[in-house]
Amino acid sequence: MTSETGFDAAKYDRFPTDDPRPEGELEQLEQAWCGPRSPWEWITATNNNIIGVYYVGAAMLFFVLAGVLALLMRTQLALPMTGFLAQETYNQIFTMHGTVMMFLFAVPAVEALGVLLLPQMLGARDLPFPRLGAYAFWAYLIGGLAFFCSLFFGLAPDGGWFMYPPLTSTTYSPGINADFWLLGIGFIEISAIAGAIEIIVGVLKTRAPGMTLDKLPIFAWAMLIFACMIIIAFPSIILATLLLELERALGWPFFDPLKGGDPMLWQHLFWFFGHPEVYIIFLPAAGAMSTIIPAMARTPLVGHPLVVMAMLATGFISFGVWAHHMFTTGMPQISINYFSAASMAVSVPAGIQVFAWIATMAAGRMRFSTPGLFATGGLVIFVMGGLSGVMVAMVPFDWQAHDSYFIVAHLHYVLIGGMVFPLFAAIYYWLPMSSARPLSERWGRWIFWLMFAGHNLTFLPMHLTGLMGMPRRVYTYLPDRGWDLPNLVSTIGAFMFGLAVLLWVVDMVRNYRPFGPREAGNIHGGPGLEWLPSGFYSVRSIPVVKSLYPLWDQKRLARDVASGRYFLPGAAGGERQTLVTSPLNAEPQYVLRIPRPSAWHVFGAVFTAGFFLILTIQAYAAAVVSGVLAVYCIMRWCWFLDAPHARKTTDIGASIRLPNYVSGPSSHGWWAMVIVLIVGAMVCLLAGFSYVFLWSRRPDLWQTPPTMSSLMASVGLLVVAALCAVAAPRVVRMARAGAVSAAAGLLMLACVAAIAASILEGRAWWATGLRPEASGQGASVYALLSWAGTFAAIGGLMGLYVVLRGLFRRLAAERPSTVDLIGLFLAFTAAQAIGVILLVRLFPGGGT
Amino acid sequence: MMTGGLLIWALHFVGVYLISSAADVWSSSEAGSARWTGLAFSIGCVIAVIAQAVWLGRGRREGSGEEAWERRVGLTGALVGGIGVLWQTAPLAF
Repeated sequence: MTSETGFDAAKYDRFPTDDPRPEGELEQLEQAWCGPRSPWEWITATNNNIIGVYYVGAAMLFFVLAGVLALLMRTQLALPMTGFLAQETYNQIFTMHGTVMMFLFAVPAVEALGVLLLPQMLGARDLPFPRLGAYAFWAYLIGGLAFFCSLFFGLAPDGGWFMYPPLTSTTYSPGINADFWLLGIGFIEISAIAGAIEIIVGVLKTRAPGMTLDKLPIFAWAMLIFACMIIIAFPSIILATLLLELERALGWPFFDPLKGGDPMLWQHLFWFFGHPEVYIIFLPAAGAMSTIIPAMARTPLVGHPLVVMAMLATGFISFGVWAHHMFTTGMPQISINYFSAASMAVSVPAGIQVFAWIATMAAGRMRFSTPGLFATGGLVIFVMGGLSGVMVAMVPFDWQAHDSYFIVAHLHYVLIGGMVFPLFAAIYYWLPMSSARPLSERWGRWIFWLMFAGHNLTFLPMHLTGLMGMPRRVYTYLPDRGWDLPNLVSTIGAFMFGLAVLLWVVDMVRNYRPFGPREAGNIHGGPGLEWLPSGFYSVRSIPVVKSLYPLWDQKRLARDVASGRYFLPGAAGGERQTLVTSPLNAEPQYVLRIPRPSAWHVFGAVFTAGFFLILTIQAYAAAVVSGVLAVYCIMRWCWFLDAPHARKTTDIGASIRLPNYVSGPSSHGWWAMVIVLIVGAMVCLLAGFSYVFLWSRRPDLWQTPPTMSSLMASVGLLVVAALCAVAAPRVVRMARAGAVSAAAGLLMLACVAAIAASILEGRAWWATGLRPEASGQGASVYALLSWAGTFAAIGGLMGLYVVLRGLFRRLAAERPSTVDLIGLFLAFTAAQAIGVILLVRLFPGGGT
Repeated sequence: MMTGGLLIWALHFVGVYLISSAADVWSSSEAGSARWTGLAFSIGCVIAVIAQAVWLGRGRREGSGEEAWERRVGLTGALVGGIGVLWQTAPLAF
């Protein structure tokens, strides 16, 4: 194996060590990672064992709430012409059911599972950005609850969970209900992306030494692909919601065909997010299935490399099927055919996974205890949903079934079989690890069978009601159309499902009671590191991994890990620490100091959620105050980053010393910044697509751009900004007096140049008479410039932050990370702005 | 190495979609020139997938266990990618 970092793999042979551990080492470790001791500390906690449980709990709370909405809908539809719910209320309820299930339950639930399980699975003490994870959770919980409460004031969105314009334009949705959706899910987007950053960097950089890609747990593979998909897909919904809100609030006509907009643009942007979203939800659940089935069958996963490839393939091709939701919109026939072919092709990687699971069950001795039952039930339901998916991938069939209850049946089979059942399997499988107490097996069997029967009773008849012509989203129907009986059966099934969930909630409450024994141990005989004895510090010492199934193949591992015979067995200097390793071969690189809890991320989350929610009710001044406070809290939180270390190196065991600080591409912060920039680049790329798309709809409405002389000035300033940003990290490393101040000055200069270029470009377009509310061109040009300008403004805040750090002597040549990362951000800002300006000036041409 | 074949598959999808969309703006996505361009692009992608598979196949017996595993994943990915490219070229024939 070629070394990535120069680390000698022969050093792994020194472990497990033989020498006795120093007195008090374990106590120091426990002290450093001690749990909360007061109610306030439970709120400010950042440890993944606590935040992960909160996160899963909150996601399941939203699952229950959205499930109650489903029961209300099914009650209304049980019989024809009932008046249980008013028409307007029904519209709000089906919109909230879909929105809450997709945005507040499904994505957060699988992300939560990652936050809870990954550190233990990877042999890390915690994820690399615990405060970011906690921030993501609190923003999600506070914002999500406030968003849900809009239902009680009649202000909930009512345009369906995909919010198509023109239905959601101010003409047809004049109230603030649609704004609640558009702004209300802003914090969910932020939360999901923050979680994704945490997961990508966590999986790539904090694995136990020796855990090469072929030994990476399949669940971690799934979470890695899931998080990468979020980074690529979520920018699309960020952009779509921004554009629709700009149209609603300021009249920028992105979707108004009278002014050169096009409602199809929304559909493209929404489904570029919306379809991968299905796989975003499915992949972690599939990863859980690929972990649980081998454990329950007591045999390795059949076709492990094929399953990894299938998950990667699903990740890729999921971005090529978005328009299969748009077969009835009149797209060119050949484009429809491509999407149809891609939609059918998705069944290949999905089929590989399904056959691998069946083969694993057949190869081993499957135990059908509750996790095994849920895994098998999920497999059956998912296959049924997949088959109806192949049916609707065929264009002529889709034309018939589109927007009917057949689609409702299909999507619930896929999502419940592909995500909900695996999630319950995961909860039953991993709860003994998390709460040290298993759920009731007897209750679990009842819950499974009620849920399995309830699901099929609810959704199987919907195939028929759909084929008999019942459209989705109708609040009632006439008698004697043959829809009465299947609707009644569906309602009975829904209540059976509800009863199963209720029983599960009762069992969960029993499980988390604060008394009684808690020593479940590895009751399923799981092979992963997460089953090692652990505390708030995760594992006592970080093991060398030599197998995909370490607990099955490394017989003395649990004992040696618990005895502190591997890496980082203590807490040097009383610090919270974890190992950072290389992304491919997991070679130890440096020791990361994990921050202790503080309140700033909690306040930041409160004000972030507040900003979006207050904006919804159009209290702009209060929203600005909340936004400023959010920025202040986040800057205070960042203020303590990049702090000096008492020691330069740490002995991680067996006389191996690693540095406590690195900068540049080896550092976890650099990776996080690069991922943030990919998100920004994706939004910009999709905004560029929107610009070209709107031009292709109405080229006759487009006017010529400003003169070339102003182009030279804008681009020139941006080149200066980029050069300063690139030079700053080099300057700060010069061992000369004043180097730090010079680097800060260069960064400030880069900010000023980028902001000046943004202003100059905006003025040049304004001088041509083009206005954002006048046409699709105006709207898309100013949207692109605003995006680039926002980055310049954020860069300005960063410049100010660097200057303040310089003044307070928190910048140093030996700790260049702050300058590195802000330089990277500003270089990207300049490059992105150059790309934007060249696009709007040179395409479709005509400037002088 | 692991995702080369899948990347080509994704690139092929984006390419044929862009070619047909661009043709739809300037003339018609059904135009013969658009179909020939799509076909030429598809043949290029098939060649790229085959080249990737050959490169991975040749080095299969070399390197450590980790590298062999990565090659195996890459090779199966190239196979699936190749099938995907061929499958998505089929609409050009109709």
